[in-house]
Amino acid sequence: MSNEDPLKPFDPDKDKVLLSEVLDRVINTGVTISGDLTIGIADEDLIYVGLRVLLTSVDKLREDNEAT
Amino acid sequence: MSDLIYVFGITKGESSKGFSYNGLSAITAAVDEAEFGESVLPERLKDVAWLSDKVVWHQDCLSEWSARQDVIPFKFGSIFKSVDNVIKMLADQETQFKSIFQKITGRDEWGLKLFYQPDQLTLWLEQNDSELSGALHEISESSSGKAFLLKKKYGQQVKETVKQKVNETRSQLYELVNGFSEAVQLANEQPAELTSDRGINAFNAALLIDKSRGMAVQQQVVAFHEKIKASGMALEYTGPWPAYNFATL
Repeated sequence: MSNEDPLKPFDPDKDKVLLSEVLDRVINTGVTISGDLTIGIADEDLIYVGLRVLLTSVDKLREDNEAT
Repeated sequence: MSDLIYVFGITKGESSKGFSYNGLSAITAAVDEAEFGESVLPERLKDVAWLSDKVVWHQDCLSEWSARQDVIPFKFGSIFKSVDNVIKMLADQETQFKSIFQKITGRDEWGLKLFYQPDQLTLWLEQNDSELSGALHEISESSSGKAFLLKKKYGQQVKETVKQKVNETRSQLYELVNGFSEAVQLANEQPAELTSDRGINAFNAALLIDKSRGMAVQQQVVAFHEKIKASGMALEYTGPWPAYNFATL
């Protein structure tokens, strides 16, 4: 299949789309238990502010990572 | 110095590190108070570089485990202060964890999204929808005064036809996934600022699929994508994921 293949290999470092998929799952879903330290609802709101910024700046981050 | 225990999720069986209770084991990593401690965590969460790094670390660890065995993924940032507390957590929720395992054993989560490019879809409909192409023809044949009125009506008609086509595709997709999924979890469509140039997100679901059907399902998804792509619509299929959307207590 060409690059129009929707079944992309999983590679969050290279793919902004997949990074947003990872963030969506890891922050939003999964078992929530009350650990000794748990990221609460207030923190999640906070994360989302960051998330918006993050997804528009992933390309920038990638450049920085490559530079180091 | 590592003083905290980060829990990624749970597997069946005994853990070599001793984080086990009655056939359940926690997947853990030792983390520093300086990284994940109560006093620094709120600030850390605002640091997008740190956050993206840790979120990928969380997923990578679970992805490695789930390639070999069934895993219940935890949400990001479940942290304990002692081994005893981890074991207590396993003991307290033993029944719930075992019932989640019953649901997800031998299955993977897959993500499926439908996107459409409004301009491209409109153009496609103008060429392929007989009512729209008929209306366009009528406009071209009409006097300028009448054409003006018809165009106004036409704008509304286009909007409705696009909406109809998207709804129809969404229903077909829903029917398709129900046919091969053990469970379907619908999520809100992604807002435009997260979808960037992929278009408008019109369907967003997590699917729980038997590992044995993985290939056959992929083929069906690709076939659906091929069928709709000329119209400016596209599917995005990701996975296999640990069953994040199906692991709820």
